[in-house]
Amino acid sequence: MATYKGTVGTAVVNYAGNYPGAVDGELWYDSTNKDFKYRYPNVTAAGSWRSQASLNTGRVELAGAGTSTAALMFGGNPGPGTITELFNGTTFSEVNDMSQNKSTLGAAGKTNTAALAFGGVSTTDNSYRADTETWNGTNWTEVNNLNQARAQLAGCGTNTLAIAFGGRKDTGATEEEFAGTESWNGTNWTEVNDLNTARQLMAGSGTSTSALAYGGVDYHPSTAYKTETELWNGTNWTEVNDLNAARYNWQGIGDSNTSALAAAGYTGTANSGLVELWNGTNWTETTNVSDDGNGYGSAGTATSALISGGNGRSSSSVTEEWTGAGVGVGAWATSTAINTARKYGSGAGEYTAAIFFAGRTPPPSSPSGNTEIWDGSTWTEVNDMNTARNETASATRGTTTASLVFGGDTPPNDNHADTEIWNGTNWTEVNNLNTGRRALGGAGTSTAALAFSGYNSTNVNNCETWNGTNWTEVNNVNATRRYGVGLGTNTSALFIGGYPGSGSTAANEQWNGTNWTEVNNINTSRYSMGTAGTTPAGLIFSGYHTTALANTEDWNGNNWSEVADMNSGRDGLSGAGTTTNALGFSGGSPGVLAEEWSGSSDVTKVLTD
Amino acid sequence: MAKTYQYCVAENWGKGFIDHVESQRITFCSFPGNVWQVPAYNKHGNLWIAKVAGTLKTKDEAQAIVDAEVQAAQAAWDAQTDEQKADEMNPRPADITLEE
Repeated sequence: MATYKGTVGTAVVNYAGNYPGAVDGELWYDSTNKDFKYRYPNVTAAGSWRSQASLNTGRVELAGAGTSTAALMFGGNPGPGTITELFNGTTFSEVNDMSQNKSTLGAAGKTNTAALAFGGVSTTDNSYRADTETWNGTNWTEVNNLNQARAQLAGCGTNTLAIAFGGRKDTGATEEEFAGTESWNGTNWTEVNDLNTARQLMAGSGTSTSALAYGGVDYHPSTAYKTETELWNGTNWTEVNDLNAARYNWQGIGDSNTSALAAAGYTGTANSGLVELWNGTNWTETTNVSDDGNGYGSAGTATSALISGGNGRSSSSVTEEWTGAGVGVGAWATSTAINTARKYGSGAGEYTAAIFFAGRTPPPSSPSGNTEIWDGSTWTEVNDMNTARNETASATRGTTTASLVFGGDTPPNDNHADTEIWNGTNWTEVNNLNTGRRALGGAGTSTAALAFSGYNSTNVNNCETWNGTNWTEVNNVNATRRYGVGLGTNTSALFIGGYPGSGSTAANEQWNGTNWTEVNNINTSRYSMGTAGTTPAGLIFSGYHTTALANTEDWNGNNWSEVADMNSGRDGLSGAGTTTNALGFSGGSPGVLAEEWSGSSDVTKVLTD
Repeated sequence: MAKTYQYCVAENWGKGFIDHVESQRITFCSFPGNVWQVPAYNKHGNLWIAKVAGTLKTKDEAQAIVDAEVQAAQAAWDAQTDEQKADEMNPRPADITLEE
């Protein structure tokens, strides 16, 4: 009989409690509880959708190619029907148009630098197209036509190996659904074996040798909404298990005939939000899209995808991003407390090397210049700031050896312009802000920082940039407020939440080095949160709105998503780190608590009889 | 009426007091006086209370501890100067009502 040691290469560890050194899947014996245990990553059991950057030009019945982080969306109505937009993981930008206008076209392409557009209907004279165009990352070039002009077809593959199937053809006397399949070898289209069921507006996904056709509609001789699924092996189409719900006017998502995602579509009477996952044998219902609709363009795979534009959605420019199951579940854990209780101080640094300074002590409160450094296990008091104050801001990407503090308040209402720089040992006074203020936002490093908004007898909207020597006034924020928080650098920052004068705001603005632009709001309106991360991947946690909150939200570059709450909600706290590993410390009462964020967590399981 | 929560008193010693796995499994809520609220009739909540050697309290006992802490904080706030009290980010600590 094989032994555990023989198979795994190590003996079963005997440990009193949960063995902290266990690697994923390793078995150990818990001598305290007399259990055999193992650990594995805690991941999501189902996929989820979240909003992504919108198209610049809203349209329907377009086509897409590429991945969820590098996509291409092209064609569609209304508009010239030639528009092409490239998605870089953060935003869509317009690139060179197609030569021929078209909607309800077929598409192939696994990247946003190599795609194929074929067939469709002219957006000017409604004629059915046989045109094929190939995208090289910069331009579309016309290449050889399909043998059969058709619209409302499906396609998949790449721009060198693709298939086009189904659709609607104009026979001259009438129009009818079509079962024809053509194969593209990079130069020419060749007719190959037909689908078993002729239909139009179906979805198709996969490659030229491993594809899937699903759903669609057949209007002749009478209307029939299709659930049929057919599997392509490179030679023939074979009928396999049906969709759970008939839908049409959609684009397929998937990279083979064993993995696909059927998202939304039209049922014949209503827009659908239903989503089904194909595992090679069956379709299983999974998490619905947030914004029901049909006629979108898609990109990606069954584990990571985009759908953009379409009919019936909240806007014809919206995009949703699909992330399949198996993503790590984040959680907060308690950490070592700071030494001196405070709130409304400032922090910077990383999860294992952070710095915390300024703030005010619990009532009877007094401003503080205390500075503490975190080495990953303990907080150590080091030299104080020169000017004790609270409601300061910091260069959030500062470090334990190079940090910057600016602004703040020494009650009653002494709004500071003072700036101090930390060199790892001491704080030194350097040139002041142009506009003294407190409760301001900050971002950047000790040599390239940004100070924005805040309060000095009234809310101010000034923004200043620090070059290591001086502060210079730059363009103002749009929505003036105090107690908003910042993250990022002095060329790419976010200004989040705040207190406009009453209540709180969910406003969120993004700085691009020149201007502030309003971007998607946080989900839970509040102020005085902790922050970590940068503009492509940020985290806010806790804060205040009528009471102290524990909510945590994650920024993906476009939207905020609610993730796991802190264990002790509080206001006026500070943060450090990234969305993967962060630290939240100080704030609220008693003002000393710290928690550690892990973007992924583990589950310990007990072996049972 | 069945209880939703249970309460205990336990001092947060920092790292390891609540770990990521525990935090992911159940929702913790802290109150003044080292009072912690975790789900009632919950295996993971019970295991955590045992781990931190928490002293179980009825809701009324926990409420009394929280009230005493809040009243002390209110007295400290009341002792501040008028200027300190006028600070919009320094509101008088509010009473807290625990849930069953």
